Amino acid sequence: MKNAVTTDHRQSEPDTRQTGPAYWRSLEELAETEQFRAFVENEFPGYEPEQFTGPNRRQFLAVMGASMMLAGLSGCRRWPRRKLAPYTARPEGFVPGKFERYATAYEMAGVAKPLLVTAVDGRPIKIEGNPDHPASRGAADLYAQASILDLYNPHRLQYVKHRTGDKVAESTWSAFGKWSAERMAELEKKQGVGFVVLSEATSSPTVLRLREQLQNKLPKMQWLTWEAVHKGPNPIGLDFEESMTKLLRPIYHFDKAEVIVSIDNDFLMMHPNAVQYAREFAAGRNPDNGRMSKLIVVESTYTVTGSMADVRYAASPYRINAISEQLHKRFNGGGPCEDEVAESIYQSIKDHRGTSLIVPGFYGSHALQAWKLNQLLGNNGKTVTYTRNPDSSIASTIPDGIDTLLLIGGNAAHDDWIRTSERISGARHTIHLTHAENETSQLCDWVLPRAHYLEAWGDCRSYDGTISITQPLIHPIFEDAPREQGGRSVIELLAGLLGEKVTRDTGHKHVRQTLKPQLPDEKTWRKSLHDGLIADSQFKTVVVAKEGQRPETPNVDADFKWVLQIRPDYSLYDGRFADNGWLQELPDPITKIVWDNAALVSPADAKKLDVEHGDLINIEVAKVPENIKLALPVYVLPGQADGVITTTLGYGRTVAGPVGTGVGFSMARLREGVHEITSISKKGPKYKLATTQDHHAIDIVGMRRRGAKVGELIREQTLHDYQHPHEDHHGHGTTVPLTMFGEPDLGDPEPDYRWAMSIDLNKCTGCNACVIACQAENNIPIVGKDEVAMGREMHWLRIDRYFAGDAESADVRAVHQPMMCQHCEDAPCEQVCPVAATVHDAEGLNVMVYNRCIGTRYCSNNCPYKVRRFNYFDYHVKPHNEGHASAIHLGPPDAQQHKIDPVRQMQFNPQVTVRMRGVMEKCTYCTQRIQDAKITAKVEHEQGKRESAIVRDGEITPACAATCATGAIVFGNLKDKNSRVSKLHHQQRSYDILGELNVQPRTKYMKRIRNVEKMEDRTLPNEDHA
Amino acid sequence: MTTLTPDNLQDAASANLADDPRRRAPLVTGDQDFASVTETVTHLALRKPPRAWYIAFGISMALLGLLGVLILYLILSGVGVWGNNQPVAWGFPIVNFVFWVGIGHAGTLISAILFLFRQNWRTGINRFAEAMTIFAVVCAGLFPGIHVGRLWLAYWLVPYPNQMAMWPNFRSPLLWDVFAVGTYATVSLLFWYVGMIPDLATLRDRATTKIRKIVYGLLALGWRGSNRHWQRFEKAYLLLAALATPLVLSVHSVVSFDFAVSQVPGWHTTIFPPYFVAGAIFGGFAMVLALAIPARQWFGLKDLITPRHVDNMAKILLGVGLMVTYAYATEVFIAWYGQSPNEQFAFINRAFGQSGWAYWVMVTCNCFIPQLLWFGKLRRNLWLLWGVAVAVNVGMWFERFVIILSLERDFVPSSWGQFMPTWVDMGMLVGSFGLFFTLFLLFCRYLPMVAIAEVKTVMPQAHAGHGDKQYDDVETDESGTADYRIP
Repeated sequence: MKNAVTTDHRQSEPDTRQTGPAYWRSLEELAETEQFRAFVENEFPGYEPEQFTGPNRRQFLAVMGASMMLAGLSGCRRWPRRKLAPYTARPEGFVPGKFERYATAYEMAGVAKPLLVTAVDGRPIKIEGNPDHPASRGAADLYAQASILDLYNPHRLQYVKHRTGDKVAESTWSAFGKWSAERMAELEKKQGVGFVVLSEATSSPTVLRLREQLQNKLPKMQWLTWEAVHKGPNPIGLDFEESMTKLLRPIYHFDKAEVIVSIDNDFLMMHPNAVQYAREFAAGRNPDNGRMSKLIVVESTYTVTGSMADVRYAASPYRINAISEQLHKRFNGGGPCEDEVAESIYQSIKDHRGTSLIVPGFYGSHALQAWKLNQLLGNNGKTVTYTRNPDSSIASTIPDGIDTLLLIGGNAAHDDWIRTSERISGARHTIHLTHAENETSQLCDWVLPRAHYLEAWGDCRSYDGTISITQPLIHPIFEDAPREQGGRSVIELLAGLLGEKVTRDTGHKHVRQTLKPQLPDEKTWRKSLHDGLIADSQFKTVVVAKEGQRPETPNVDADFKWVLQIRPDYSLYDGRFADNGWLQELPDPITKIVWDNAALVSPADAKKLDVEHGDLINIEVAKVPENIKLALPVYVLPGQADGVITTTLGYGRTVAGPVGTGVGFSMARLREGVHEITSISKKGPKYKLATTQDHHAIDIVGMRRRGAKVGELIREQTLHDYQHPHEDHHGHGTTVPLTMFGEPDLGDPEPDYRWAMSIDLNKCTGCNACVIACQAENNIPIVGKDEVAMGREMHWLRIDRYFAGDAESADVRAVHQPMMCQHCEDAPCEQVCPVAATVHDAEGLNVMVYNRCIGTRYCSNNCPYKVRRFNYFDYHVKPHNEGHASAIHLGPPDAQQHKIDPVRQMQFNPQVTVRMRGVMEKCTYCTQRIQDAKITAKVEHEQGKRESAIVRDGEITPACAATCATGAIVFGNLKDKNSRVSKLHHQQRSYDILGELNVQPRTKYMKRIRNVEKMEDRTLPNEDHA
Repeated sequence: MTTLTPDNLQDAASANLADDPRRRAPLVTGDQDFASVTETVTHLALRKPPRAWYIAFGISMALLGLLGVLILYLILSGVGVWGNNQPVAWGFPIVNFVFWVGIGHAGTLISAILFLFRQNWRTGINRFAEAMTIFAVVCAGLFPGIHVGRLWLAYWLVPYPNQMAMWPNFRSPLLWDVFAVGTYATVSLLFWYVGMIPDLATLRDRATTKIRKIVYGLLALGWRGSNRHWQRFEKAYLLLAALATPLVLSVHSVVSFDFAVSQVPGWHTTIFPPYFVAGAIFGGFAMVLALAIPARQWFGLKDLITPRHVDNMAKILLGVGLMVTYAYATEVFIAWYGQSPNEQFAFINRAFGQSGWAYWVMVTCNCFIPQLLWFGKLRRNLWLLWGVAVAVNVGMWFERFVIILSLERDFVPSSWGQFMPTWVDMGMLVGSFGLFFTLFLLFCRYLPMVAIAEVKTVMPQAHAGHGDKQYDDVETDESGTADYRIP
């Protein structure tokens, strides 16, 4: 085809005769050969424009053939079919897909947790703390956050159930209304004799007002309050009476104390006000501004608070009682304490008058002792203040021969230590208002669906008494048009019993009516609704001048050899969250056990009993009229007090939906507290405990290595060493560059952001709130116990817990280390992915492209932090409690997701892909929040609302950081030299984990500082324990 | 069918094992001439096979069926049916992949490298060693394909222009794997097929049924045995041998990069490429032995695969075994000498940690047991030799398993885990043997198991005319293969 190129010979031919060749290009030109002429004509040798332009049969066929073949390959992709249903009339002010946040509050065990709930397209999807509320300041605990899953629990009670004899029939609210009206009329005639209400603890002013109305109508009725966790984080707090009339509630001020002594009080987690306490505690422990308090903890088992202690003593409950007594004597002028622990505590606090704080536990009579000690030390009124306790009477008995029993929430039949189940079955008529069917509703005639707090109006008071309005974000999910089905709130139920017709407005009307004194007009009402609190509504502080009466004598009997301590569970609390998959699969902060409770035994006791990890033991507990026998699997826990076996409530539920039924071991016959053990014996085969860390007992080789490695991963220092850096052994020496290559070229102009994170080990309590926040934000599935046991949990964010010190002795330290994708600048995962599904973006994020991932899992192998998670099955679809075969899906694999329960789907964050099976995933630094903030900044900039389109420091908070009560996690832009994260990264305490691999992680950790005199090389423990 | 007893094995062994420096040991024993060689080899392909074949084929097919069912189960549910977990994200499938790729080494090594080095004794075993290679690579190719989480998208590993405007990541060793194994499979298949053309022509000429005539005829590509055919054939074969030779070394080097390029302690070692190649040859030769010893017995190939062949292979096995042992020792030495605590722990853990038993199975099978082959007497005991060969195969599987187990404990102790295979893992391993043996038995049944034409070249009759009047009468049969008859 070269011939086809036409050239005008006459023009190109140099007319040498006229001008003469001034310069020649080659000898051939000079010679003017034919070949040279042809060469010059063809300006681009080898270029054949026809190849691309000219129509040619052969080429056409070749190109089309190839295209068809490759088109065939592209055609392999099936696109999911989706239906769009637009609004025909869009509600005013509503932007589809736009996130909106509303303040509300969640009441648990009678204490409000102030919240800010995110909703999109009319469905709430994420719960965070209310930043305006002093009890939260943006943080929410794991229960409040996980409660969103309860809203979308497909196994919630959806309709009214009526039991007659053995028959259970579906009924309606109006049928119940008719029946209850008759009952109420009958009861009214008897002035309410035989009518008993057994209610969950509540602080709701409206419920209390309606209770009073009911009481007026039926003067002889009984209203009892029932909580399984009786003396634990309940509203009583301080268990003694002032002038024998009123109970008091202590409010601690940890930020004001220099020395804090916790006597078996897990105030950083198992306390109704734990979020606020954790924040204030962390505020008082900043080694960089010189305000570093000292925490001394005496406790029986390892708790979250214990893991934060500078000095921790393990002691049995009886010894703790003795210590408390001895301290009291010592301060009253007695000689040195017999118990060295008591003496050392005395030495630590004696000079801190007015700046120390004794925090009593919930067992025994420490409360009174503590009040006295705080009084002697002048702390009362300074580091601890008191208010009146609003509701004091937790029922200790239930009367016999009840005519009509109304159970509001709770699960009294499961908390069976005083034979509540017999009382319930003994009542003539029983009514249960409940979220989901449980052991109690199995015994009741009328089982009424209860509205979730995000579905109904209400009010409640936080620990300090501040009133919050609970506003609904969604209509009751299973509600039908005439309101015959779906949940109703306590307020609506009580209003109905009082003879009112319940409409959609009932709850709202009652709450407004109750709060009329505080919020007289629409403006104040709207403001409070918006802010999520009524300002200045907290309880009045009272000054306690005189010593009260001791309600019970301390049980100091050293003869008891073994005791069983029963505590509320870190995940399930008293069992009310047993049907919440997120919480079931949440690792215990200390033991890392999921889907189970265990008997925690100290290493020395394990030797004595000749038991190891996973052995089942029989425990017999002394009780009247008969001893109670329990079977529990052993978990050997370093730092557990000798002679004490600890376990938790909330497991062994028999009616708790597909998630909670039959999980773990029931403690129903025993209440929270300390029980005497009469015998312990080893029982039959081993039991499989699933843990997310230390999956099994460890061998010597591994144990030694772990001990050595932990010292590199976790860095600790004493306060003294830290403040005198010349003695610092871990200080910044000369930095040897690990690479000979320079910084990568990030393009021109360089991007505006370099995202990074800082995690302060000195602040992290290991409370797990971030784990749930991440799970809720990023649509992370649960996998079930067997899959966790195989090592397939999906949490993007995990909290590693390491012990240090001699495992055999009680002196074991624990440190928590949140671990998620470190967003390495030189990420090992990115280099090995064959399909480039995990890549780096210019802002330094290690980006995971789910669509592109084919699941070779090479990235996970090469990740030194092992933070990548793989969807071995479609875990959102696969039943968590069935075998692998239950994951079988007939049909296109990407259509499997359509089988996810539609109610469950409503919780999904629409900004985050729901990953299908076969795909790798990991922490993204909440890339959706980053994009959101960037887009908002850009739009506002273009609208002229802000000067710069660059996101300011603090405008982006990943889900984990947002909910962290202590502020241990800080995220930001390194490019901004004044951002918090920039400053923290250059702070002396900052260090990289596995920096020696030159992966250059963007997440840095900050050393843990211990406020102790001397820490014998505490970062290099000799031995560690499984 | 000959019964396999130690006695008659010993008798046969005495035939050509003696080393007489004055003359080369014969490579074909017995009273074999060209016609009988042809008859011996084609007999199986053209006549009804022995009953043992049917039994073996039945078992293999059953296992292959199991593999098929398990793959279906895998596709319908997800890769979680295996024991893989975090941190051990690669489990049995990758172990099996590397194992089979390794097996696939000996064939091409025997064919190509020994051919180039003029090792004439290879003629007796090269054909089925090559076949073994092809089938092993088929087994190997299966596992990475089904191993990925979304196997319906596995074709994204191939660089092709697409609507996503995406190339694969050329930095990833897994991609190199795709190319290396793909190239190796292609070249091995070509090499095997090209070498087989004259023999396929022989089968075509001797075939009795119409279908066979057509199929063998098509496969023989019109071979007539003309001088020109032979000339071109030999040139092509030589070139392919030269092309295949570097691949023998490259494939397993590249496979080893999957591990060596990563930074997992215990994987990140520079010794891996030669270590893997040595291991592959070791495993491959062991597999050839494990197959040849029964095959020569059952299929009456004792005169063509003589005791000398077997002895030579045993010696190679011993030699390569020593190389592998040396590699193990070097690895441990470097871990100590390198002073990297992570690597040191990886090796201590390998031997004495929770899965240390696997390491000692590997060492026993790969280092200790082959030492028996120092002794001629033991080498000639075919029962024992077969046992050693099987042990080496077990050991080589465990070598890869031990490497994978490095993932159990890497940098962050909180993420340490343990790998436990599921029944599906076990079933697929066994099933892959079903696939291998099904293919191999089909090969035995329908294709020439020994390179007929090549064997004839190493028989004394082939050198007729070189001053020996004995072989003057030369007839040529239809296939063009010279059919010499001793007058």
